[in-house]
Amino acid sequence: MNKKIIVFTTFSLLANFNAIAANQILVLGGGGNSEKDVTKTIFDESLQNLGNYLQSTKSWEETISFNHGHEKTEDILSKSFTSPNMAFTKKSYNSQIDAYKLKISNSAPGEQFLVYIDTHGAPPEASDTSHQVATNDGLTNIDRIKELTELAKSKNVKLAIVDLSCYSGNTQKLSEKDNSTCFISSTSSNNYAYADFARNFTNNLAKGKNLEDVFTDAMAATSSRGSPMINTPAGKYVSEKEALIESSLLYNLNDPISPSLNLLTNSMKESIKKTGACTQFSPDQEFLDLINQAENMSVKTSRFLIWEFKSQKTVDFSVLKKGLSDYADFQNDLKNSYLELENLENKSAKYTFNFPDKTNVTYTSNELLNIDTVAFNKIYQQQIEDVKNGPEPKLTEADIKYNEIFKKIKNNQDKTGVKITITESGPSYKESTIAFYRKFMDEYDKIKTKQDEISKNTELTRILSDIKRKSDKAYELSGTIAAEKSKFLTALYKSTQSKQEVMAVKNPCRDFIL
Amino acid sequence: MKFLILIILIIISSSSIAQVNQFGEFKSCGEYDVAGTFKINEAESRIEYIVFAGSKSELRIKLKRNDEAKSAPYINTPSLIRAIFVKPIDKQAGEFEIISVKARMPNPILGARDSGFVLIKNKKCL
Repeated sequence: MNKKIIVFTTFSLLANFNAIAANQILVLGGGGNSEKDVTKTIFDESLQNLGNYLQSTKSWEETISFNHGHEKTEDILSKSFTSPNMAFTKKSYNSQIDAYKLKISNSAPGEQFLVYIDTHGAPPEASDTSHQVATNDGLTNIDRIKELTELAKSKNVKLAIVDLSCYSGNTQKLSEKDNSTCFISSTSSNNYAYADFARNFTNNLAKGKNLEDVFTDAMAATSSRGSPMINTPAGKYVSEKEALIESSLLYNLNDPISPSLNLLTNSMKESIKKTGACTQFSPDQEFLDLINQAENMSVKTSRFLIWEFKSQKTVDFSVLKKGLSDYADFQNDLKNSYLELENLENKSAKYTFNFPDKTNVTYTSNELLNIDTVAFNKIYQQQIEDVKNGPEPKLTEADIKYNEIFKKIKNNQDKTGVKITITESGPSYKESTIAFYRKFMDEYDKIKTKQDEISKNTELTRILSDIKRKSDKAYELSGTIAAEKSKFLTALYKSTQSKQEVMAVKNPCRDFIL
Repeated sequence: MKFLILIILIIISSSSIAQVNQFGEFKSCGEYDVAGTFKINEAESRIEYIVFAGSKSELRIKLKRNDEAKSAPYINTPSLIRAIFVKPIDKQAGEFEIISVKARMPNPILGARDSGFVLIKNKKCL
């Protein structure tokens, strides 16, 4: 076993035999990000929020195995957490589960244990109960959480599992039948997770608040397309209803329009043909009830003003209704514009340009007009400046492999005839590299000239402008719909939560008090 | 009631629930159709292909220089590419060769699920 892990685990175990704080938190994650390319990670904001909460309450004993080598993330870990951190690897995950089991074994009834997982997630493998999450040395499933839930139940301690990764809805499958552990997931079992739920969740952590309230406050503030889950009675009810809404939101994916635009791949079209109408979904009574319930909720409560009772909307469902309706209209309009474009493209002339490395690229009129020649020239101009002002260019493996310009050097010339300067330390590629980038710029200048000719085609420019306008509107509406859907689901959750029969059921998230 | 009818029409118009989430994850090396969006990484003066944008699964795949011209008409607009992956995707980054690029009508209500991979043919990794 890795020496560091032994020392770290021993440290954790020793800490365990000292006074155990009433609250224990195990923070895992931050795995799977490229170390070369980024100094920060998508987990930073929520990690900072969590650190701020832990620092402010000082009532938690922390154990941390998070990240590896991202400057900003490491900075948050060192400044906002008190426990030493160890890189999140498959080994550290297992050693931390072992250490946490020992802590739970030595705990007194009523103590609270929280496991916080925020990392990249993946779907389950065939043998997994939960799903795969990214560590710094590959994926692992988190099925061992089940060992913690069984132990916590036998010791009568409170345990909460918060999984904020993609596909984290699968972690709910580790929940026991009697719901003795609180499970919170940032998304459903077949969906991606977004940073905003994690950010809102950690931002809502506060002393004295229970985890169910933290969850609902976070869900209400979330406007991304994730589908947060919690294993409370109200949570299970809302998840079922959300699945019905999701099915209506996803309908466009199956629309086999305009095959030549390749909106769907051949395999998708085949799949649709094979399954056909026999598997069509038809709305059942449950779905109809949900719509009626939503309508009623829109004007549910009243408030008393000095001079009158006034109806007050709990949630204005009309915004979601209108958003969905408008979105469907815009998507249909957009589809028509794409079809118009396709018809025009079939008659369009094609234009070929010769880029370096014998790369000839042919564009249609539409493609040509879409090219931002200024942006591309800026890229290559910057490369030229970097080469001029920097050290001898270091050729990447890809450059050497794919850019023949660097390989065939004869008579102090590369294959394009550009002189290679021979220095004391060998050939200098500065001039040929600059020539390589200059050739790109020359081609984009030719494209610009051609664009000026084509832009006189007013029909094409009108269609392109329509597509841009409708796409922008669809993106804007999709944001509104996601935000309104969150509000609606939160209202649905709260109306279910307050029912007497729901209040009477055991609820480990309500009982987990921060 | 109008909304109810709209929702029912929407659902009936779908071919089947089984077809949702047609785009999946990257599995191993091979030829894929990939739905995503090209973006300019100004800090590095390179073009990247972004898949699962905005989610915690976001992938950023840097283009080789000789593939950049193919991406030029589709910067910041949804596209569908046919590409060969010669190495496995590791730590949210990958490497590929682009065969073709086409326009793709977006369905932004799906968020990151409006992108992803469809395996066409398995190939050995280099």
